Amino acid sequence: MNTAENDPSLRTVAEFLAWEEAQPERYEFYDGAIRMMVGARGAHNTIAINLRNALQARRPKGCQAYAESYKLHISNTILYPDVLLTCDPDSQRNTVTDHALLTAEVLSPSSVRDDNFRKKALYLAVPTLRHYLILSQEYVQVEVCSRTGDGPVTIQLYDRLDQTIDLPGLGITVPMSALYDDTDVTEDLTDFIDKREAEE
Amino acid sequence: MSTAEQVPPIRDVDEFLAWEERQEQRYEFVDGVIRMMTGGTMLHNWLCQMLSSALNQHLPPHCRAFTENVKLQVASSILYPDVLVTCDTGDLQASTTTQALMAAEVLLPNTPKREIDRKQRAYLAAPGLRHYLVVSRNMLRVEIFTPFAGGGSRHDVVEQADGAVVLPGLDFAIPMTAIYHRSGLLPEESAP
Repeated sequence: MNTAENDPSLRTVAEFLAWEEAQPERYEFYDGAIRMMVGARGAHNTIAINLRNALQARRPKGCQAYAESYKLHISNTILYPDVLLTCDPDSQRNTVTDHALLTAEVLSPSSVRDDNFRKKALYLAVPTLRHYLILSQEYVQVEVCSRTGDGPVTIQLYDRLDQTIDLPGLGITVPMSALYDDTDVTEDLTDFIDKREAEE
Repeated sequence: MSTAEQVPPIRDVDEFLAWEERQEQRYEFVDGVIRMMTGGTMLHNWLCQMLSSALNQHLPPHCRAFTENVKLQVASSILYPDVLVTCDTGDLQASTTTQALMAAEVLLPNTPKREIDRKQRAYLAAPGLRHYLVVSRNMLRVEIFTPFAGGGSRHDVVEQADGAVVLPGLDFAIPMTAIYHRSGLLPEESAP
C-alpha cells in the first residue's frame, strides 16, 4: 500500500518526524527508508473504521483507538498501523506513541508476503503489545496474534461472521460481524478462490 | 503448485479417489474443488527431500515421512502435502491416510495469501496433527504452526541459519542447516 522513496538527509526518527509534519502526505519510516502511504479501496477503509469503532466502544478505561492516522514508534522505525489502540495518557495531545496495546493491518490484495512478515515482526517488537490483528478484505478472516508475558505468540484464526474475537490482553471481545459490517466480503474462501481463478 | 480443472461431476471424497486413481496427473480435492498438482522445481523437490530425510532418521520404525505423493484426507478434502509424517504405515500399498502427525508445504514467495490460507485452514483441521510447517524456498524461513486442542495455534518462525525447527510433538528438533543443506540459501554455501 505504499511506494518507496529515499531522502538520505533523514537518518533519525526525530529528523523524520520533523520532516513528515511539513508534508501533505503521510509517510512511514523504516530505519532510514521512507515510504509514502497511498490510498486504499473502500472495503479497506470500512473494515479499519469498523474495527476502530468496535474497539473504541469497548476500550479499557484511559485507552484510545485510532484508525489510519496515528503513528507508532518502534526503535528507528515509524509506522502507521491501520488501527492502533494505546493507553498512553498523552496520546490525545500527540501524533505518535511508542505504547501500543493492539495494532491491526487490513491486508491489501496486492500485499507482499515478505512485507507482511516484516510488519508483524516490527509490531511484535513493541514491548507493550498484546495483540496484532491481520484482517483480510477479500474474504472473512481475522488472524489474531496474541502475546502474554514472555510466552510464545499464539494465533487464533476467525473465519465466520457468527464468531466472537477474544482479546484477553484487553479484557474485551469483539463480534466478527461488526468488523465486516457494511461490506460485501464473502465468508466462503473456496468460492472466492474459484472466482479469482476464473478472472485470471 | 496447482491449477483449477474441469472434470466430470464428483460429489464426495470416494468418487474423487476413484476418479483420481485413473488419472495420469495428481489432483487435490478441497471442499468439492479439484485442482491439478503441477510440476515443481529441483529446489522445491530438494527441500522436501532434506526435510523428510531428517525426519526419517529420527522417527520410530512404525512412523515415516513421505514426500509429495501420499494423500492426506481431512474431512471432505484430499491434500498432497509436500512432506507428510504418519504412523499409519501398516499397509504400504495404501495411497491415502487420514492420520497425519505432521505436514509441511514448501512455498514460493509469490504464492497468493488466499492459497496459503486455504492450505493452513485445511491442515490445521486435521485431527491428531501436531505441527504444520511452511518452508520458504526463496530464503531461510520455516514457520511452525502447532494447533491447540481447544482451537487456535502457536506460531513460531525460524529464520537464523544456526537456528532449529523445534517440534515438541515429534520430540525432535531439526537444524536449519539440515533442511537448507546445499540449497544455496545458507550463508556459507554458494548458489546451487
